[in-house]
Amino acid sequence: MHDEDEHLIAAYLDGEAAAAETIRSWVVTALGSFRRRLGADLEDAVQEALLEITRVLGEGRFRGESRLRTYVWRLATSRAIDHLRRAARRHLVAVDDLEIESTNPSSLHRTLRREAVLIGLKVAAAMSEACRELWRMIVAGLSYRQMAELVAADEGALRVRVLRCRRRAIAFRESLEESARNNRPDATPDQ
Amino acid sequence: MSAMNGSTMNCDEIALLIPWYLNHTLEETERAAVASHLEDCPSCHIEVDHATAVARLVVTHPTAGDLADLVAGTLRADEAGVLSDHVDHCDACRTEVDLLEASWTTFDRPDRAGVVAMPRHRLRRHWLGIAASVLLLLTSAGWLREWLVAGGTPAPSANIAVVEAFPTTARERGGEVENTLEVGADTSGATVILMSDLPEEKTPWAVDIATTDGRVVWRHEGLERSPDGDFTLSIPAALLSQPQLEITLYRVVGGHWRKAESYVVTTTR
Repeated sequence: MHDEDEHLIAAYLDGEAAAAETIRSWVVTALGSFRRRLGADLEDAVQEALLEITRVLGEGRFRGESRLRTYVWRLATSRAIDHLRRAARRHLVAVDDLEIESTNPSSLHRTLRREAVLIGLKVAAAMSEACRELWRMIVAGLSYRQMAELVAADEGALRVRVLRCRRRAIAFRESLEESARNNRPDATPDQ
Repeated sequence: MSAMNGSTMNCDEIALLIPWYLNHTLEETERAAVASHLEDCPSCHIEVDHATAVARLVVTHPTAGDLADLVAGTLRADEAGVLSDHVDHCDACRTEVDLLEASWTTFDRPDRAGVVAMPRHRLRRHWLGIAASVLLLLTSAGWLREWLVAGGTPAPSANIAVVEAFPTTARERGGEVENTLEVGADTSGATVILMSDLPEEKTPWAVDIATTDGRVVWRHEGLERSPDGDFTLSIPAALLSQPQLEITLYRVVGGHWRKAESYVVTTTR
């Protein structure tokens, strides 16, 4: 860990005002571009970030892979995005199962869960926009009749189209999963 | 009776209805037929699993931390590729990445402001003023040495003043224009958020700052506009000794820099 960061952390955890102000100023600067989006919630987001930073530093979870300033930026902006996501009530189906929270990017890809998220994102990106849109409609709770009307298709044809989208996506996912299994250092053919 | 409406559906017909069985929008007869079939047909449960998996795929997003890592460039190339592909087709994530990029630009590169050359005609017109201003700044504050020693980042004890500045045109429209930067003894820089209602357009943006006597003492080309339409500007502490700063925003119109907005920021101690 960089000496300056080590000293700053020690001072911060000791409650020194200058250190606290430094870290607070980093958070405020990081969230400058979120000001309009967050509106009255900006101060909440700043406090939330500071609380998390205090927790992380207090638990010794910052290991110095990046400079502290960069780390604070990542943490503050991530919390701000989370704040916006909560506010927008974005529908994340079972995302808690899939998302990985890590304070150390270099370690993320070593986990199988991380691999699953990446595969999922890869499959979704590989789907055609039309397929993604059909499946978003399903997640949004539209009936096949409503969907057929929206995309101006026959109901039967729509159901077949949705099934084809699903089968292609699953086949692609399975091929990626197999490839991932084969590329793992400890992979065995039957895994 | 259609096979799709009865209880005699085969596996292929069931597979076609499963997405809507899962989102609870089937009519009662269809729902009952699918439910009954699934009770006796383990192989169709795979179809349910697959449909659930695809539904998840289309609403799965990278974590906020992943997007931050993408912007900061700390991801592995393959991970960055996957996330970039996602961002390309996900408007919500694109908006978040834009916000993060605006933040990162301000946060990571406060040193770049002011070192990018303005168009030559502007430089020629103002070179004497620039030279005098730089000399004044160097002799009065010594900020450049401090800036370079710190690698372009504020010193660890930095205290950044922040103001959300409204353009002078807001006053003309009857709005309140009091852009005040509160500067303390330990303030080492300022972040000024230039609010703007200018229409969205693909144009380069530039900004300069003049003191009360009209001298342009600081300039920055390549300003980035946030998705909300405002601009975040980091300025060094040396300028905060001035009682008032006039910030002028420029855009390119017909190949020439044209004034777009001006802002007056008052500093108080």
